[in-house]
Amino acid sequence: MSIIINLDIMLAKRKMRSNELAERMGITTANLSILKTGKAKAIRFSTLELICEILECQPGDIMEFTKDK
Amino acid sequence: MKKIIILNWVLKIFIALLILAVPINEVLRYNLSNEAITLMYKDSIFGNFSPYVMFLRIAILIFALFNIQKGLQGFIKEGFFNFKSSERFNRSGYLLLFLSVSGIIITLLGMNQSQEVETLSNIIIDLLLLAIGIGLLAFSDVIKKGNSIETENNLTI
Repeated sequence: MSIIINLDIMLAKRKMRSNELAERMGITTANLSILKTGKAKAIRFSTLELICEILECQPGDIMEFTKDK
Repeated sequence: MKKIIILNWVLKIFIALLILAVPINEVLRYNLSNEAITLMYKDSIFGNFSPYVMFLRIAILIFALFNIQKGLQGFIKEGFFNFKSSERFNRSGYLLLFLSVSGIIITLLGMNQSQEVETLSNIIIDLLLLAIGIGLLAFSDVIKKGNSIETENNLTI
């Protein structure tokens, strides 16, 4: 996959647990896990907005583009 | 969903009736004399083998209907867009296509021996079956596409 999700790194930087983020976002931990493991097919702007707001970061901090070899 | 449940039951009853019709027909035929049987099938292109060809066609029809019924059951159990139902409808579509094409060929081959009205009505029924078969194949594709859209939607966070 070309887009890598660095949500784990941001969570570690903010010293926040996945459960807490999921709870504050109002989504299930299962859905957050799908996002974290890169299994998600798409992400809504509203979800991205919530993550950025809660973690106080930019979209680029949680997503990274890498070229496929 | 209520209509699908009703259709599922209608198909179950229809399949049961078709399965019952085969031995009943065989018993009735068994009671006939050899001359009567020969006379009955003298106009048919398959001669005395006609009932066996008919049984084969009924068996294919039962199998196709069984697949449609299982597809509907899949709708009831797993929701509308599931891969199993798509596969079942696809299979039944091909079976109905085979049944209709073979029916048209048989009707056309035996055209000289049967009446025009009978030939025409047989061809119309076979064409209807052909349309249903193609419709089922298209329906199967719609379900398959729906399944992938649903999966993508579920994986959109």
